[in-house]
Amino acid sequence: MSTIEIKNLSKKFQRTGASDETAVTAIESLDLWIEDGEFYTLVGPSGCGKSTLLDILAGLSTPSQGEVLVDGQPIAGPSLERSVVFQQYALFPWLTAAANVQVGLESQTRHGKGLGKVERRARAREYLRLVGLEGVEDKYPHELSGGMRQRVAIARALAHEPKVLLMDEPFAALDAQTREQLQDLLLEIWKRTKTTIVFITHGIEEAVYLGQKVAVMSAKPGKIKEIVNIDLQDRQSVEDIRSTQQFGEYRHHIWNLLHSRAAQESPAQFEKTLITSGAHA
Amino acid sequence: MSTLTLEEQQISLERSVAPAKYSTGRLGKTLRKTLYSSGAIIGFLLVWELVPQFVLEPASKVFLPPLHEVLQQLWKMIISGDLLTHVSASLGRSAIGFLLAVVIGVPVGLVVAWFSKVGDFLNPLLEVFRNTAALALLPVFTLLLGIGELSKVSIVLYAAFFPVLLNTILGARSVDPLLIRAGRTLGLNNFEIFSKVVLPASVPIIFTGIRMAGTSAVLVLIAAEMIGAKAGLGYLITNSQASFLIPKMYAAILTVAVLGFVVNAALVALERHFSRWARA
Repeated sequence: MSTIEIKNLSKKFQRTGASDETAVTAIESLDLWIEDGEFYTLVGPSGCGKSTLLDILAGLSTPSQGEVLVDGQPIAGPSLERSVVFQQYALFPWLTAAANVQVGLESQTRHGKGLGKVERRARAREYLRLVGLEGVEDKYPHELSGGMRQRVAIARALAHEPKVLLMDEPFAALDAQTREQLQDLLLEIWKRTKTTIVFITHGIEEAVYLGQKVAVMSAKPGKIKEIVNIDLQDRQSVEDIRSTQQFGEYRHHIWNLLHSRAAQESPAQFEKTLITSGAHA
Repeated sequence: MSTLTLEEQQISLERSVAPAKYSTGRLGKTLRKTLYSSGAIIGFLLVWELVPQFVLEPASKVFLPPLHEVLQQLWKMIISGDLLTHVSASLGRSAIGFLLAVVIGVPVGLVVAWFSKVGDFLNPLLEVFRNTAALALLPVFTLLLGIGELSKVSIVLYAAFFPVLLNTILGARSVDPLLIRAGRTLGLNNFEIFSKVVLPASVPIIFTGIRMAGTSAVLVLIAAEMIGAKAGLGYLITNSQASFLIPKMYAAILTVAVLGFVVNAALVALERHFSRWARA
């Protein structure tokens, strides 16, 4: 049971000592309701505040205004209930894959509601297997490929069984083939664990393929432009769902939403955004 | 630096030799490599041996005895246990000073790095201290702490402290903020972020500081012993010179060279061991 309720959220960044006028508004009066167990993707151009929003959800940053409630409770700092997968993996390079996966479990144990040493080790192996990694328990991150590192990072985020999984462009640094593999893996994990997932991307196709709902954001200041319900059948039951007409319509609709806004802002900037979006879709 | 250029030369040399020579196999190649890399040292020792014998006049030969005389003297000192006394005196002092520098320098460095305002405040002063040659302060140490062990251990501590401290600060400050964020989302509190993220992440840079500290600990101590001591390699060198025991003096110098080399090699190995994960 984990709903996320974002109410009238604003975030301003201000240089220390500078006056109010110089503050940059990253997010302005944003409202969003995320259901328990939902796979929610947020798509938007660079600078639309989507990473800022994720930081706030993770408890790594505090809102300037408004509030975020998880199951009715306001967020008070980071929590094992809400795990984060970062774009740059963020694995601890001095720990083996298995030891990385156990970091959250060890925190749980220290707080007196976790597993013993042997169980933690078994749990780490179980989650590494869940993300399709076997026999890499004792390898260090620098011995693994980018795709494998991100799999370890996903296992680490899930091993302590959080209620919410927050993902900040997790597949953006990977090559196209690895990205598709990990997208399918993530869908399978989601179906199995029923974890609420908030997934940030600037790839339109990625947003449509993964999300049940896609929140389209616009930049300067960051706002939700439209929430698109994605009503596609089971992604893996249809061969190459990305080439179906329905998928194309969703993709085009979101493309238009991003286009209209960005075109008004600055055409050059928009083209750049679009090219990168295409590359990541 | 010099070893690097030597290796580069080695590579270009290997490229220039005819392909047929590679057929002598791996062993031959390793042997040639070893011979090549120790060639300069062997040449130097040969010059040391031959020049005093055949080039120098007898009067100057007294001041630069050939290598075999020095080695004979060294062997005598090893047998008599004389050398061990001096080596252990020197090693003991530098080890105590060095270890104290590590034990104090690392925690202080971590605290300074963690409270960035403290760091900003202290940094100029630390820079001044670091750039003041430790030996320039030897008279001060002698005045305040006497000529005994305390002043020598203190000067080693002083010389070794700053590399450890400054590298610890640098290491702890250059920790990837992303790892700290990841640590927070994995339920680590401030202390755990410090002990489980900041500390291990800075280990490679800290160990670079420790290696530099080890080298300067030995260097500074030898110099300090030359000025006032009753034992130790520095004392042995100046004392032998004053007593006109020239081969003995050279034997002591040779020991200092070997000791410095061994200490550095050991610390390099230690540094490598602790930063093996950082080799991407």
